[in-house]
Amino acid sequence: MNPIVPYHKNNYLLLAGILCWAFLTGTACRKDPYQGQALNNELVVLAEITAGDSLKIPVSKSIQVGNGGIISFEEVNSASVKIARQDGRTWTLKLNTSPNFAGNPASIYTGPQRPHYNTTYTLQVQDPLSGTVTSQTTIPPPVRVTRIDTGMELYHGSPMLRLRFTLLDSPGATHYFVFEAMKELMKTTHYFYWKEVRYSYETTEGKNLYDQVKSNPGVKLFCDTSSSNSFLRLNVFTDDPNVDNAQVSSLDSPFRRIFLPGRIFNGAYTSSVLIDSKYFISDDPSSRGRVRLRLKSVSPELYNYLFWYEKYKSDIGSVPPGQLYSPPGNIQNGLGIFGGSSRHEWIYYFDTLH
Amino acid sequence: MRRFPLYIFVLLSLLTSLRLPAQKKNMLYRPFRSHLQKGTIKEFLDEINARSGVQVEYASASLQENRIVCPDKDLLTLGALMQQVLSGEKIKIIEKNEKIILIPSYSPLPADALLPRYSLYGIVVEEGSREPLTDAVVYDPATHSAVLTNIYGYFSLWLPEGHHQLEITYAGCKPQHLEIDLHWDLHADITLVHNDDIPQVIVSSGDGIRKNATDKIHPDQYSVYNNFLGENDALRSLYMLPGIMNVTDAANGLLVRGGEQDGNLFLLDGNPVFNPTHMLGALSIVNKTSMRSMQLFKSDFPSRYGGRLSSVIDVYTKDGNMEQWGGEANLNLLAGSFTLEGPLKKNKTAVMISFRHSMFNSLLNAFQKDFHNNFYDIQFKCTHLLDKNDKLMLNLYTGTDNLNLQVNNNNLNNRQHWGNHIASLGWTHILSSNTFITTTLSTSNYYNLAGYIYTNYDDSTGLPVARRSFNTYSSLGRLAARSQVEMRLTNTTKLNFGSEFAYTGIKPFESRIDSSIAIDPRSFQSFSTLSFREVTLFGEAEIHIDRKLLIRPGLHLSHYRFRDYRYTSLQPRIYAAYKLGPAGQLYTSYSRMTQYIHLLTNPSLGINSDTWVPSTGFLHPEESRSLDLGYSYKGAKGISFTLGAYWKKMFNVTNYSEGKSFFINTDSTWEQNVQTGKGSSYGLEFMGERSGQKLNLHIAYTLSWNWRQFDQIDQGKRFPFKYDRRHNLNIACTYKVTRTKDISVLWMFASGDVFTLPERIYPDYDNAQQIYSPDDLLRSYRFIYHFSGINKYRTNPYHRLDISASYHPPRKKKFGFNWTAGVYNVYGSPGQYSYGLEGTLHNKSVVIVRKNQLFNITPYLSTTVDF
Repeated sequence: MNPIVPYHKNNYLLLAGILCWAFLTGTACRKDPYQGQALNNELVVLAEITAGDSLKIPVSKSIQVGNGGIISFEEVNSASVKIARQDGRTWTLKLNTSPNFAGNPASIYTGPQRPHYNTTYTLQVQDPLSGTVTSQTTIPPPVRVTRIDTGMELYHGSPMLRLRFTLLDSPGATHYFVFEAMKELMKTTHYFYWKEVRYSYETTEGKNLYDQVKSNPGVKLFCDTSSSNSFLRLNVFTDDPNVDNAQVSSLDSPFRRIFLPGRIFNGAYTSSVLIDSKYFISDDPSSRGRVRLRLKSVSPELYNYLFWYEKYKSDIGSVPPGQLYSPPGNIQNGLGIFGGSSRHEWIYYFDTLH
Repeated sequence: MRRFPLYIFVLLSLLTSLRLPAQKKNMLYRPFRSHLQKGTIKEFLDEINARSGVQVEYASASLQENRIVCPDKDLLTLGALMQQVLSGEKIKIIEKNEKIILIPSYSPLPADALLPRYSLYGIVVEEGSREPLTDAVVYDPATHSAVLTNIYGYFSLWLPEGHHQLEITYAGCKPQHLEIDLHWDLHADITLVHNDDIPQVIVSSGDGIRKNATDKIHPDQYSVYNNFLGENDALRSLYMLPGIMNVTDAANGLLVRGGEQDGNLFLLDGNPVFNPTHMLGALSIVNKTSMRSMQLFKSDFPSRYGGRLSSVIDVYTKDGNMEQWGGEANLNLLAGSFTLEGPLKKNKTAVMISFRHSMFNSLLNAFQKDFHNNFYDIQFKCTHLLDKNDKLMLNLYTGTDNLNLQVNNNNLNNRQHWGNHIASLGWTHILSSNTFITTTLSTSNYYNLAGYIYTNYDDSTGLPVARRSFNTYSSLGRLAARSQVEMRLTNTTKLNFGSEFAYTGIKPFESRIDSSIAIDPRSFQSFSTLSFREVTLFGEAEIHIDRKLLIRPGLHLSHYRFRDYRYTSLQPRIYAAYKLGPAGQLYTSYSRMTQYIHLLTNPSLGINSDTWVPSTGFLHPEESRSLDLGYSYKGAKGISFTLGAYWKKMFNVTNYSEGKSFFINTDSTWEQNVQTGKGSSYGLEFMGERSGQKLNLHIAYTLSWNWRQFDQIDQGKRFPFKYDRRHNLNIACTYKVTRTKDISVLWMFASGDVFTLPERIYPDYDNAQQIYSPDDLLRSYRFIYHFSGINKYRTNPYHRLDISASYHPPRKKKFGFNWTAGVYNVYGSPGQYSYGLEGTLHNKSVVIVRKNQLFNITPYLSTTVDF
């Protein structure tokens, strides 16, 4: 016979059960991503300053993901952007509203000043809406290349330009080298002079006028080629086993950049890279330009960022977002990178620019 | 390391302080027969002095010299005679310089103080099958001496010379009484008769002191709860215990006290198995119909075990019936299996063969359409008795799995093929009356072919823009020779010591990236074999200080060599138990463990992508230190519980470096893709059981924390390990409706796992420089995900309800049937949540929650027949 359990004892058992359930489910520390958490959009700087080159600092803002919002980056047009040299001299950069930067996801702040080698620079970006971010970088010494050799060859069945170079690294210090190749897209404009006034041939009126006066002596159509400030990334390859790219993918893969850590040599080092020539020559006038091959010495933080950026771009189509690894930046209170570089550049013209 | 000499000194001091029977085999063991049948004590002592060659010295005042004594006639030794002559006298005896000195004492001479002691030893087996019985109790009520048989049924009990009536008991068998006249070491094999009249009762350690904190699982224990779609899997019983978690559903792994899957040493008849699972871990390779016993060690590791950090699961299968042919067959939704055993030569040679094969996918796919799996395993065991003291065992196992898994409208497609091949030859030998030795030569091989397709879709067009197939093949082979000695010095002291030599070769990283799943590993990028050697020495003593206190100090010493890298590890272990009263006892243990192989799991794949790699000069061996403190209670009315706390610190635990590719490993770079760090875990465990005639109740609860710390991750900050589950609760109940019918309910609850997702995105670096990649297929993904931390989010809790009913009618002639019907996952709870992000530039960014489950609500029916 079953023992008779007092009614109130049953109630206690029920209450204990409910409390147990509440304890387990309540303290299981469930934390849904993003729900009920509005994250502040942080200032983002994605800048590389180069010795001898004018200053250009892209500034943007992050946006929270996963909240169902539209992915569209907000412009930061109200920021105060300053760069201070180690001697205390400060330059204020201005927002550049040139149409050349119209499609950029960041607002571009520029200045005519040109940084120097072996100099430390501090960046400060103040935005009334997003706060202040700072960062610091040191521009490395000049890149010294003692020997180069170029030649076209077939690599994995594709025509490529092989660039062989000998790099001189100063002993006693570790420098970080990055090689990249780009095609700088050029704009070609035509103009003429009529009665000492310059007219553009690109407009309908100018073209009509030119047709009327072109038979007059001294009227001649001139061609002007200028940069569009847009670049096409050219895939690069290497068969140098010492490059850090071996940690990103197999060495027969195409890369955005080649990473050559200075720790593997101390003094002269000869390496070679191959540049995919697929976009060297274009029939499309909007894709014509000149090929820039850049061998850079970059600050450690920029090397680190670009290396992980390379890895990130390699993985983004292959692994779930939760298992990607963000490139590590150096912006205090914000996101992104502020790095310094010096470079040795080779410029080649394969397109006919007129 | 500085404490090791101290530890060894303490260990040696304890051992040398023991009084061994061999030390007493001096004057008292000499043959001597008295010519006197009756006389005073003085007369007997004078006769001994005159005829035995032994001088007995004493002070007259210390004895009742003139007391008349009448010893038995058939006493054969000096000790036996003196015991009876001096019985009741308040004296002590000292043996020195060929003299026996009697000195006064406050207490009378103990009843067996002067008697020579001999060893009764042998094997306890079950009648009918001659299967060795593990943990059978051999007990002498007169001296209150008792020992347990080891895994091979061997026992050795020291008893004083004379007549004894022994009791031999074992759960499920009729008690056996044995009368012996012991005048020398005696070999006596004992046969126990199975008792069909009493219900199956699982007896653990009885009322005696806990010899270890180990969980011993009998094949029938928890059998009503470890039924997975009708397939009875003893390994799933482990999930009923506190401190044990599983990687839910579609993955392989048992997680013990904060460890990872690779921290568990799974031994099948003493041979390590590197992946003891079928169906992604849903089932173990242990066919229940062939299993004899299973032990789980998670805290007090005996010194004979090593090589893993978290647990040892030691499974032994049946030897085979020595007297008659019989077997067992099982059929259910998942698999069909049978075990056949019988004598090739009666009482001399027996074989056991066990075979299991998965059922047709069409049957399974009625409930789970995306899951296509088939597996089989075969085990063959041959046991041959060379003579009373020697036994040979040949053990062969092979098993493979083929699996295809499609998830989310074919968006993700996995294919896997893995298997184990194991062989061993064992020899057990009774070396002397108190020494038992086992020697084993073994080989264990494992391979795993895993393929995975990842397709990325452009949200704006819905068209696939990237499809890559990642294929890996890894294989491992291990050869080992091992010898282990068990020596019972006294009834209160036992020594275990031995050695092992092992050679392991691993090919971890053969891979291929393609547009479709690759099948033939020969087409993969090859990888050279990584081989290493281990030499191990171990020893421990089990010492009953008195009836209340047991200590078991031990030492495991191993030397490892991989190419030029060498590592020596000294691992002290100690266990102690103290009996507080008839029902309760305290126990504690401390263990150091070292693990030379690391299991790498690809962070990109949620599949069984096991890859084992050896320790190197760069990738150091994993080590752990753990401390355990517990209280156990075993009261009347079938109520028992244990309450324990543990703390564990782990070093050099591995993590596949964030962002490093699993597929890009060369001979020179693979180590750089792995990083090592620290881990710690701690928690409280509770397990309560109530056993009754009608109702059996089982509750296990674990409250735990689990952390990891790597220099390269999250700026070296400590972060929760991905299986940091705060709460784990199992409640199981069986109600016996009638003698032949019972119903069972199992409910499991576990806090969610932690996971990582990015929180912010910001513009692509190249795009901010106005650089565009014309060949980039994912041009719409022009942003960078930013993560602010590791494992900041937690998935939903996991909980599941299973119910089942069994009917086991009375045996008819030679056949016994058991029918089980049930429903797995009654309310269709998801097995695992995975969170992902979807979104491209100019479109919406949303979190995608996927509810993965291997099996939804799944009814099943299973039948077993034994004959």
